[in-house]
Formats: sequence, structure tokens, C-alpha cells
Amino acid sequence: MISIPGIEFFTTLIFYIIIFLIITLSYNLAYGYSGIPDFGRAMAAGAGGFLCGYLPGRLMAYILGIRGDYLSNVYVIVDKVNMTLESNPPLSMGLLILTLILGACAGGLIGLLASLPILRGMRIFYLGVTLLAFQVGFNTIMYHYRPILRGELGVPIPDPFRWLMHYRILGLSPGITRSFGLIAAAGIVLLIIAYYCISVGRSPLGRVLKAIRDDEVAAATLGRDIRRIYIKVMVVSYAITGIAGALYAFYQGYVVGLHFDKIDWTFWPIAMVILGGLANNRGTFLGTITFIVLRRLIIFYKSDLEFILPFSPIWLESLLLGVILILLLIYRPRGLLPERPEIPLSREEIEGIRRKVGA
Amino acid sequence: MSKGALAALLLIIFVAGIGAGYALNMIAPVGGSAKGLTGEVKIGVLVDLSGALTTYGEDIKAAYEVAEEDVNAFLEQAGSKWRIKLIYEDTASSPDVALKKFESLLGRGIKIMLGPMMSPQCASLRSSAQSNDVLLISPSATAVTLSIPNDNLFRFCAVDDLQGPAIASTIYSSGIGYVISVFISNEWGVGLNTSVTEKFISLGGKVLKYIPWSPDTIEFSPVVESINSAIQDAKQNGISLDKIGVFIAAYRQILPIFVAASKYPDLSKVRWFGTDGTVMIPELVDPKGHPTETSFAASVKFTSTMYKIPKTRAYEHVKRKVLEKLGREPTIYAYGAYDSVWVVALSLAAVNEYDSMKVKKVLPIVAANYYGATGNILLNKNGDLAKADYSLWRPVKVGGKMKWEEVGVYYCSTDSVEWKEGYKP
Amino acid sequence: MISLLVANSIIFANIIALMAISATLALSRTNVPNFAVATFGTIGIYISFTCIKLLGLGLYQSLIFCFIGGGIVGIIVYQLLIKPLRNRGATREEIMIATLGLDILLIALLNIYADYLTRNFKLMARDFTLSAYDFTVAGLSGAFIMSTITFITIMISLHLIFTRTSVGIAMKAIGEDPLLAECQGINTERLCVITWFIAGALPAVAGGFIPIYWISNPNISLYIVVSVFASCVLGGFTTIYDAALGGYIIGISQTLFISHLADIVGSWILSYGFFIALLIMIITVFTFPRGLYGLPWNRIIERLRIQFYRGGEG
Repeated sequence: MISIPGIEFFTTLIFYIIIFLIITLSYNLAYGYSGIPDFGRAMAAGAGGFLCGYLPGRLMAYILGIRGDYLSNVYVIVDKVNMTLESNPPLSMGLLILTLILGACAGGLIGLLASLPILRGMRIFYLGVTLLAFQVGFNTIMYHYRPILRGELGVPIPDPFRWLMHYRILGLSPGITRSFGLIAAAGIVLLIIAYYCISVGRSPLGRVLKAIRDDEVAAATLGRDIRRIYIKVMVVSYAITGIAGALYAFYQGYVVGLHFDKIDWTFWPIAMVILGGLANNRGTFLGTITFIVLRRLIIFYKSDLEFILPFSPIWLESLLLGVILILLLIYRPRGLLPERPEIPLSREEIEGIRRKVGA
Repeated sequence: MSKGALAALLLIIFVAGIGAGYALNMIAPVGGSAKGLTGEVKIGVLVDLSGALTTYGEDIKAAYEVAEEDVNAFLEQAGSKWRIKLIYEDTASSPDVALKKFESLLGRGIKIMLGPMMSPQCASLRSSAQSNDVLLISPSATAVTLSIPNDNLFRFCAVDDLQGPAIASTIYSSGIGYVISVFISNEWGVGLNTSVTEKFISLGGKVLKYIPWSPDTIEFSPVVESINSAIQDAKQNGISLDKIGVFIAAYRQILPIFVAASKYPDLSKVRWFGTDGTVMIPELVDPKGHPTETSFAASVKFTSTMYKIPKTRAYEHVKRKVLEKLGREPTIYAYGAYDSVWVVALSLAAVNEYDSMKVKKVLPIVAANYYGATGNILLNKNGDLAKADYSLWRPVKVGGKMKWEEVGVYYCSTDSVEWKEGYKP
Repeated sequence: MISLLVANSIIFANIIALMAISATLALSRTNVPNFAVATFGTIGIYISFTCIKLLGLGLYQSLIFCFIGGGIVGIIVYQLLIKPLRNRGATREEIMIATLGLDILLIALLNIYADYLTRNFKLMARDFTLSAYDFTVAGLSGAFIMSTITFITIMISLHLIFTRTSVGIAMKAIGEDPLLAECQGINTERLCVITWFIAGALPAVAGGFIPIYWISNPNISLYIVVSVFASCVLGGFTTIYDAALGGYIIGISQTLFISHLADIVGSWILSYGFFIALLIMIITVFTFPRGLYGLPWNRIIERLRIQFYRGGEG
């Protein structure tokens, strides 16, 4: 008997789509335009997400004057913090915005560190492996070093959306109102980011980035300092992903060094961007939405799938990711929607100019 | 793509998704409409059917199945219009998989869930359960840090702040004054370490060294080397080996640890003590298949605790039924699992609504008045079992065969250990 | 005689070194950065497990099957993945992402296989060790003796193949300049197949040693792959000798060195074991990016010789 998805399925789905759109659009900025295969991207989301585990709780405990060692009493303290946040919507929103901004800063900082290898003039292949090593190291520290996130135990995170649970929309459960709030917040961030990324794509900077990707030497002759541009792109791109990581951490309410791992936060986004086609914002949307919908459906229908598949559906996702990546790279490395040459001006505008000039 | 089109696309997805979900919710509600229960009332089950806790998971699932049959038989006799239906999801002994399965169940509108089994899984689900008004009843997550009043997590098993004193008293009453604490670095292990060592120190004992090890350790020779060096230091300070004990909080990792430890002569001359994570492991009483581990466990008189429940009528019934299904007796946690199904069903009947928060409110009252496979279920303010006794088990040669034998009992109310005949230290 | 810790360190070093040789061969000879090298090792683990538990073979007899099985997997990977990519003209980075996809795919398949073994044969196919099947000689574990013998044998064999046989010398040529090699009439296709047979067989044999001391399950390669890549980077990704040396350095520091460090600073550092590998890799990349291969050995030996003579005279 096939289960029918309830409303929680859709709210989760939309939330995941928005979060990963933020990630892939910002990844596109770095990889799609500049050709740097970034295998350490999970660090960017991790920066924002782990910051969420570290800072908001402590900050609120300090403001509220809650004494005692934060980490040993973390469950009790976070529960107390949540009670205050629940009755104080402006405080909650302030905390949210502050954490998102700090998450962006943390992401940007990590992006700066991640771009250091570029300064050394490293060849691209070593860059990929080195960034992966950085990311694994980063997550390892978060997973083992007690004072940050309680090591292997992880920490709960205060919930700035809990106040929404006092309201019911359309007679649905209060948890849905909270989900709506999360989606609204993430959606606003996405709109801002999407606007930015699409604008960059059309700007002179965007064309310079593509030029660099296609032919480094030629671009160098144009006199632009390539390295500084790379670094700027990395920092901005990582900062944006950091915001997505922070939002996700708030959604989960709990974080541990195992989260923001390379499979879900580096390699799936890479697959999404490749599917959609590099440097192609429309393609990125397509790739992201396709994969997220596919994955959520698999997760939802896992127990139903057990009867059809000869093996446990837990492995279906990995199997698909591996096969899709391989097939994409062999047959359609340019993605499903191939990159079109950038046409910043529309046809009419060009005709108009031509007429004015009298040519 | 133009920004306007982008915004419109997002808006459409958003509205369409919410609309679809809302509509579907109206057509196929989960447990009947708001007032009155009808049809199949769905209860989610998060159980480990693969990974490190597979054997325990199979036992617990069998107990849930027995309970579902019993409850539905009762509901049929009562002529009620509803039955319960348990929806099982395999959480693969992993906190991440547990979260995904939780989301999947939640996506079907299920708000009452039994499980998860492991403390780290509970930790990762807690916040989401809280924000989505989901009621969780775990049969086996024993970590101390999860004892929080008024949250949505209930536990029908003894919590480790009761197991710690049991182990500490066992060690101390064996004549051991110095202990080395070796523990897995997760919610459960860290809590047990604190609870055991605090009690041991309060009894007058001393802790020589703390050796935490990460859950993803695959090679144990550095850990065992560390234990050995602590023992060598103690020897140099004049402490005799028969006064030293090793406390170890691990799961199946005890097997490679024993293999490594067997290569150090002094390590088999001290006593080793385990927990509910190592009790009844079949490989420790298997001289043919696992000779090294079995002989090491026997030579160090490896004593592990398991929480003790009275042998009620329901207990015998569950034991018999699971024996029929699986060919073996279930783990102790299966009995709490059985009881949780009854308590949830009875609470649902009292509330007569599929409302998880209303059920949560009456759950402790129903539990206190229910006498099941684990006897009385008196929950404390944290929603966890208030008292528990522990039995002590050890691999022993009985009649020429190695088996796990109960060698003593720790009584919670008198805070003392009673050793059985022939096993007095 | 030799403490358990030292013996285990050397076993680990042997394993890592063999895998590092494979990855270096794949990159320097066929221009493929092989992310899936550690998972070839896991394939070896499960071939060994199957042979022992299902076919009743001995621990070291199954190593032969690991070698052959791994080699076959290597050839299959070459034909189905590498060749199409190269024909398509893929860049090194794209091939890297593809081998990543391969890695994820193989791990999923191994998990499915482990499930199959558990369900159909009631075997503990996850979190197992095979130490019960090992033998002990004069206080040394069989794994220590056999893995060291295997490693030395393979090193010597490869050395002889690459320096004495025409096939081996030709293989070096296709690595350095494939087009030129083809012009000389060398059958690059056949040599690539042979190279990938070796690149698959070596990690699989190494994998046969893993479950003796380490708790094995299908995902174990994720813990090892970083150390393997660190060894290759340290070695310089060019010759097998540097790869082996890199593997030994990383392997020993990750186990022995960390353990001694734990005696000084405390047991907490044990969790950071493979961090040493990361650290060494990062230092290499930043200070001598061409690895051990790029170090001016001749000059260093000269300098040492001068020092030595000066010291002797003075």
C-alpha cells in the first residue's frame, strides 16, 4: 500500500530545496565561473552550522544571566533559553539575524583559509584534494574537540522559531507554523542570494570569471589580478553557503561534528551543479530541484521500496549518486541544459543601438 | 532566467506544495479525525535492524509485534472502532539514519513514535520531536544527559545514573580499590563514566586513569597500550594487581579489545568489569569460534550488569512468544518495549483522540497504574524509570560448557551487592 | 620481542604503502586520480571474508583470490569508466569526480553485499574481525609476518618488472608521454589494462590484511583514503618507491607516533590519529609540493657525504 505524503513532507521538501539552492548557486559562482573544483565545500556549510551550535546558546545564556558550565548542562540551559525565546518574538528574530550574519562571516573566514592554497599557485588537482583534506580535518576537530560542540556528543541549538508554535494556520498543527517560518526566512535569503548570483552572472565580473576559467593565460593578458579575484569569489561563495548551513542547523535543532559531511554537502551539490550544467543558473535550479525531490521521495518511500528492490533501500541513494555522477561525467559533462553564451543585452536593445548609431 | 520569473517559480512551488499537502491531509488523515479514533491508528517505530545493535533490535521488534497482536485482540474484544498499526523503520544503529526515518514517519503525519533505541539517536531527534509535538518512548536509551523534565522523550528503561552506582558497588565489593575507566566517547559512555567513577570515589576508591576512545575507532592497540601503561605505573607505585580493576563501557568493540589485551600478560591478571553494552555477548562464551576472547573474559572474571525486572505473568508471556518467533529469549529491553505499546494504546483510549500532547499528559498516570512485563512503571519527573535493580552476569564454565551466569544482584533500595553462592569475591 | 603496537604499526604501514603504490601508478601511468583506491581495499576485505566463511579457505590462501579479484575489478573499472572518459577527452579533474562517484557506488554495492551475507548466511558481515583465523609464530602475529613478506615481494617484483622487462619499461613510457609511446609502436591500450590490473590487485591484497586487527565494515575505506592520499602526496605521485616510503611514514606516524604522544599529552589525542596524515599532507603541499620525489636527493646525499668526510677528518 503506497503511503500518501502529508503536509510535513512538503514543508521539509521545500525547505531542503531552498537551502540547497542557496548552496548550489553560491557553488556555481565559484566552480561554474572559475573552474575551481571545490571538494571542501562542506566546510562552508559547516562553518555556519557549527557556529550555530557554539554561539547562540552561549550568547543567550549570558544575556539571561544563566550561570553554570554551558556544556555540562547544555540540555537544561538550552531548554531555559527556548522558553524565553518562545515568549519573545523580537528577541528570537534578532538572534536569528545576528547568527546568520555571523554564520556568513564564519563562512567567509573559512573561505579565506580555503583560498590560501591558490595563493601558492597550486595546480588544480592538488587543490581539490587539499580542500577535501581541510574539510575532513575541520569536521574532525568539531567532532573530537570537547570544548566546542561537546565532541562526539553534539549540542542542542536554541530555536528562534519556537514562538511561531503558538499560532495555528488553517487549523494545522503548530509545528507547521514553525516550518512555514523557517521556509519564509530561508526563502528571503534565497531571493537575495539568487538576485546577487544572477546579477554577477550578467556583470562584467561574471564574464571575466568565465574568461579565466576558459583560458587562464589569455585572461591574464587582460591585466586582471586573477588571484585576487579567485580569493574574493571564494570568500563570498563560502559566506553564502555559511548562511545556508546556519539555517539548516536551526531547522535540525541539534548539531555534531558528523554533520555537514562531504557526501551530502560537497558531493551531492557537485552532482546538482554538473547535472544542471556549469555556470548556468537555470541549469542549477533544475539540477538542484531534481535531485532534492528524488532524494526526499526515496527517503519517504523507503519502506514501500523495500518490497520492490532486491536490497535495502538505505543504499539506494548512494547507488544513485554514484551511478548518476559517473554517467553524467561520461555522457553529459556539460549538463542537461548546456551553457549558453552570455548575452547581456537583448536583441531589441542591440537593434536599437544599431539604429541610433546609424550603422 | 529573469528574477521575476524566479520569484514566481518559487512562489508557485511553495503554494502548490502546501496546497497539495493540505489537501492530502484532508483526504487521508493519520489516525482518524480530531474527535474520536477510527480505523488504523498509526504508531511509528524506530528500531535498529542493522548495524551494531541488530540483535537487540530484532528482539525489540519481536516484542513490539507481540504487543500489537495483544492490544488489537483486546480492542476487538472491547468492540472499539479502532486498532493500532505499528509502522516500522530501520534506524541502522545510526543517529543520521534515525533522523531521516523520523522525518519520513513525520511526513506521513505520525506523531507518536516508539524508539529510538540508542542514546545518540535520541539526542539527535530530541529537538525535532520537540518542535513538531512528537511523542517518543524509547525502550533502551539509557544516557543520563537525556533526563530532562517535561520534554517529549520518555524512557521505559533504567537510566545510567542508576547503573553507575550498581557497577561501582560491584567493583568495590570485589575488593578492588583502584580502577581504570575506559569508555566510548558518546552520550552513553561519557555519562556512565561519570556515574561510575563518582560513586566509586565516594565509596573510597581511586581512579588511576580515564581513557576515552572515539566511536569510530577501528584499531584498539593504542587504547590497550594506554591501559597497560597505567597498570605498569601503578605497579611501580606499589599497588598490587589484585587490587586493580578495569571498567569498560563498550559495545561489540569489547571483542577486539580483548584480543589486543590478551597479548599483555598483566592485563589478564586484573579484574575487568562491563556494562549492559557487553552483557550476554555470545562470542564471549564461544570457546570454539572465539577462543581468545572467551578465555580472556573467563580469566579476568568479566562481570557485566543488566537491569533486573520482576518475573511477572506478562514477562513470562512475552518471553514465551518471542522464543516462538525468534528461537531465543529476548534482551531485557524487549519487555519495556512491550509495555510501551500497551501504555500508549491505553492512553489513546483514555484521551480518545490522536493528539500526541494529550497522550503525553496522561502517559505517566496510565503507566503507574499498569502492571506489565516489567512490573510497575513508575516514571520520575524526567519521564524515566525511577528505580531499578541490576543483576550481575559473568561468563562461567557450568557443566563443561561456557555460559553467561547470574553471579549476584545489586539492590537499588539498600545500595548493596549480594553475591550468589560460590561467587563471593 | 616486538611489542604489539610496533607490529600493528608495521602492518598498517604495509597496507597504506600498497594502496599508495596503486594510486600513484594510476595517476602517473594513466593520468587517473583514483579516489576509489581505498574501496578496492574493502573489496579485498570482503573477498577474504567470503573465502574464509563461505568456502572454508585459510586466511592467507584467500589472499590469492583477493589479488586476482582486485585485479579483475581494476580491469572492469578501466574498461567501463576510464576508457570512455578518456575517449571523451575528460580532464583530470573530471576523472577525479568520476572516480569519486565510483567510490560511492562501490561502497553502496559492498553494503548491499554485506546485507546479503547477513541475511542469507546468518554471518556477522559488519563490524567483524578475522583475528581468530590468524596464526602466531614466536610471539609475532601471522599478519605481521605475512603482510611484510607480501609488501617486500611486491616491491621487488614491481622493481624488476619496471626495470628489467620490456613491458615494464614500456609502462613507464606511456606514463610520461603517451602519444610518443604510441608513435613508437607501443600498444598503450594493453599496457593500460595491465596497469589497472595491478592498480586493482594491490589494494585488494592489502585489504586482505585489514580485518585481522581492524574492525571491518563496508564504509571503512572512508577512514583510510585520507591516509592513502596523504602518502601519495608525500611521495610525490610519481614513483612507486616514493609512494611506498610515503606510505610507511604516514602509516607509522599515524599509529606508533600518536601512541607515544598519547603517553605524553593524554589519551584524547588518540582520536586525532589520521590528523597526522592530514598535517603531513598539508605541510608537503605548502613547502615541497613535489613530494619526496621532488626532493633533490643527489644534492642531499652530496651534502651528507661532505659533512661525513669533514667530520672524519676534523
